Amino acid sequence: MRKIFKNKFLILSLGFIALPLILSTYYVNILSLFLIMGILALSLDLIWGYTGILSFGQGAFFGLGGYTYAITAMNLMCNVEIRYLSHYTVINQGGTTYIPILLGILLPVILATVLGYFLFYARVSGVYFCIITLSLTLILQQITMQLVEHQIGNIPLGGFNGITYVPRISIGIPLLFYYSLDGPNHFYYFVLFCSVLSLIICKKICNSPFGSILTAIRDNEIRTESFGYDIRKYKMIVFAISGALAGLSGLLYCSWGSFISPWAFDFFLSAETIIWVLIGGKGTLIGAFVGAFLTQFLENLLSDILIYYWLLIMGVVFIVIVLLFPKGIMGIIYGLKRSNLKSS
Amino acid sequence: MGLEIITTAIFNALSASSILIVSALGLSIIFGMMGIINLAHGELIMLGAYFTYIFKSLGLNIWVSMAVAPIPVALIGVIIERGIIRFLYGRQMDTLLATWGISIFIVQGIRVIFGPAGKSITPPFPGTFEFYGLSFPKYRCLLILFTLAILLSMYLIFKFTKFGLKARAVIQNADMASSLGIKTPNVYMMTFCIGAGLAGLAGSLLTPIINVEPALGLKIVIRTFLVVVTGGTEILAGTIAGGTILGSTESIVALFTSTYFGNVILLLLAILIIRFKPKGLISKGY
Amino acid sequence: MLETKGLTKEFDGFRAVDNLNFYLEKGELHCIIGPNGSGKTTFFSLISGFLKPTNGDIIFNNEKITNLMPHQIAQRGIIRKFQVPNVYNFFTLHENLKIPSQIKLEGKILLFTRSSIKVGKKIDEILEIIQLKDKKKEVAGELSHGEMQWLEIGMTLAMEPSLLLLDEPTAGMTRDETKKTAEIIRGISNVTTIIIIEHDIQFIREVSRKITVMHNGSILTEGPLEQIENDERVRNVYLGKEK
Repeated sequence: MRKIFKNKFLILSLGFIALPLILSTYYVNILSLFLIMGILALSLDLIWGYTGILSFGQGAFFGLGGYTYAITAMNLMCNVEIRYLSHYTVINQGGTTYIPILLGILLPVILATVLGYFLFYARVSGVYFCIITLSLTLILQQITMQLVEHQIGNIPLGGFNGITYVPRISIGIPLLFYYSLDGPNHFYYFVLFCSVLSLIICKKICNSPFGSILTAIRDNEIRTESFGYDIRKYKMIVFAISGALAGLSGLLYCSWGSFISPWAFDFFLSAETIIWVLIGGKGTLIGAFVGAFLTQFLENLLSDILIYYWLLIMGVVFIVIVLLFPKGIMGIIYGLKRSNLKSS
Repeated sequence: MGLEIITTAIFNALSASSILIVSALGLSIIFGMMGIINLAHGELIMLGAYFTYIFKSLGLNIWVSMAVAPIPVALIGVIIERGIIRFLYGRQMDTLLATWGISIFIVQGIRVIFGPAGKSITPPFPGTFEFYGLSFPKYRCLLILFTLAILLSMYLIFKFTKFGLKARAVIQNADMASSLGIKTPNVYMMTFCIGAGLAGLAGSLLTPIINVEPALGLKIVIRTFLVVVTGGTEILAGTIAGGTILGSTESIVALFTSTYFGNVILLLLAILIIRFKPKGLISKGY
Repeated sequence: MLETKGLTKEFDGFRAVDNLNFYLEKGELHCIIGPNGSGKTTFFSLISGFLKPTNGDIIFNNEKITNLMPHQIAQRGIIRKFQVPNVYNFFTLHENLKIPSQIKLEGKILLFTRSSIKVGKKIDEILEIIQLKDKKKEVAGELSHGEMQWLEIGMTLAMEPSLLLLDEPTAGMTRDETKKTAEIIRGISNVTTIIIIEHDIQFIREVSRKITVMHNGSILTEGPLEQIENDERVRNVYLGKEK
């Protein structure tokens, strides 16, 4: 079974690697965005599909990752001159972006751990957990919208307009040479690498004893606890991991457009993430990418025609899936495979 | 000097609390009775505001508009309950998601029909009361009184009407209640109807002081959720407790620092309360 | 081994467990019986840490475990089988048994390790004891009621408990299934101390040596089966004559 999976996975990866050769720059850029959102969806699937905890906080970690990356990178690498209010000019001095990437992942992890400690150790779950995480994301949005001239280091937060001219990710050896991933193809490969890495890490975690405990927690928390597992700790750990992935997604997003704004914390992005996971198949990990891709692809295709109506349709799709298709695409596919195996 | 600040602080606290309480009451009833969080609550409030605007544009007096607006919202509540919620009894998380889908649908629907810009309504009671050099906006004073009136009527309804009795039985023990002949689905339908109606009422009462726009619901909604979640499952007592504590703290902090700091403190306070009282301040059960 | 002093649990004025003084020695196979609502399951919940007592103390192996968390109590060797079969419905039997086995054998669960061979062997051992080896790959949710009970008993055995709390292990079982359960329990009774909550007199006859009768949250009487069977008060309590 696993061999078949590896083969398909290999074929898929090769396909993705080959795509920039046949697509134009515009589409390669869009593909990068799809992958970035896929990582965000993956982070939700880990905590929700696998462990059974619905978190609306992925948006908070996404935005936090993006903002941290932007602020760190610009403070370390740029000369910023404030013209007036929050308008500024930026000269990029160059350098590697390892520290911004590290902090962009670390800060969300810290936030997730602290929040997880407060909530899981108080046995907050279900709707209460949803509400608190949702509130966190929305309040972060309100804060970033209102802090227009406020500066962290040299960088004004820009309020509604966000932070622009953020340096792209650049790799290399610090102080010796650096290579900025400006070209869309190079950035695409970096994002692809991150996506595949994230997926592999999640798969490894889920196939390990740790992963079976997560599923056990989702299936029957009390039973698991009565075997001596400190479930609060496990929840906190998986929440931190999902925070790291969401933060990664956020900083990649920020580098993608060289821009970050309060939109990252938006209510609707959180909703879309949930829709992607549901459509793709809750708990299947790869389903997160499937759902993210499919939905974004359709949106891209149809939104010129539909604009406002697209969101309306999304709302209806949401309701229909919850009522009728809770398994999602990959869930249905896996279900069919299992019944095929049984009958053969 | 000190007395002025204290009086202003107290008035702001009362005003903020009353707004929170009136907004959260509909949500609290649905949560207390059915155990579900209706994520479309903000949108129901928004619909109440829009209906008030519509009725006023049709020429009705502002007071009449405000009084009548909750009715269509309550009907929408019934449609939602019968059309969608009914199929998800017992699936708490799925209901949460479904109501979210409804919320997105309503926001976008309104945006399509009315456009994204806001409408404003002049307050029916403009101006302020002047008291020893301090000014208290007249409408806000009225709002505090309205809130008290609504709370009182809710209390009377629950305590003394047949519906109230049935409702309390269902809250205590739904299975027991249905085996005693109470038609639980009907009670749930009425609950959603009343919850939606109250949301609509909150929306109409708030029209003079906020911008009537599609995003209205989203702006109010976090606070409302936090009130219900920290207040606890006891409907009246919990909402009053949650609304007063959160509202007062936020307004007092905002008075001395800034609005967004007030937001932050509100969230932190809510998290703290939940940390120590996971089921809310005032709730039944252990 | 286990002692409770003045153990009380109140729910809004109703005393589910009332000033209970229970004493258990190591190696006992002890049964608790009593009419419904006499506080038996509440008693188990208090011992295993899922409920916190309103008053009183629980002492296990000379250690006060009254306010510990459920997982801490489980780590000290007290394992519970719940009243309603409580297994992982979506896991196979193999996976069900893996969960308790791995924590017992491997202690710290790291993120990236693989399951060891020891765990696999243990799972097979347990399946042997509960006689469900052929159903290893089946999904637990599809088992019959009796098989689910055995699975849960098997899961508790995988933890190698020093004290095993069995809550109505034969509920809903046929005559034959009950006999088999009695066999299994007798088989482990020399390595484990066991407390069983039960209603089935035949079963109790086959397994236990000492019986406690509970009523209204406290102990009515204690003793060997013959003594209990002939006790007038016990009969009255069951028939509802005595309050």
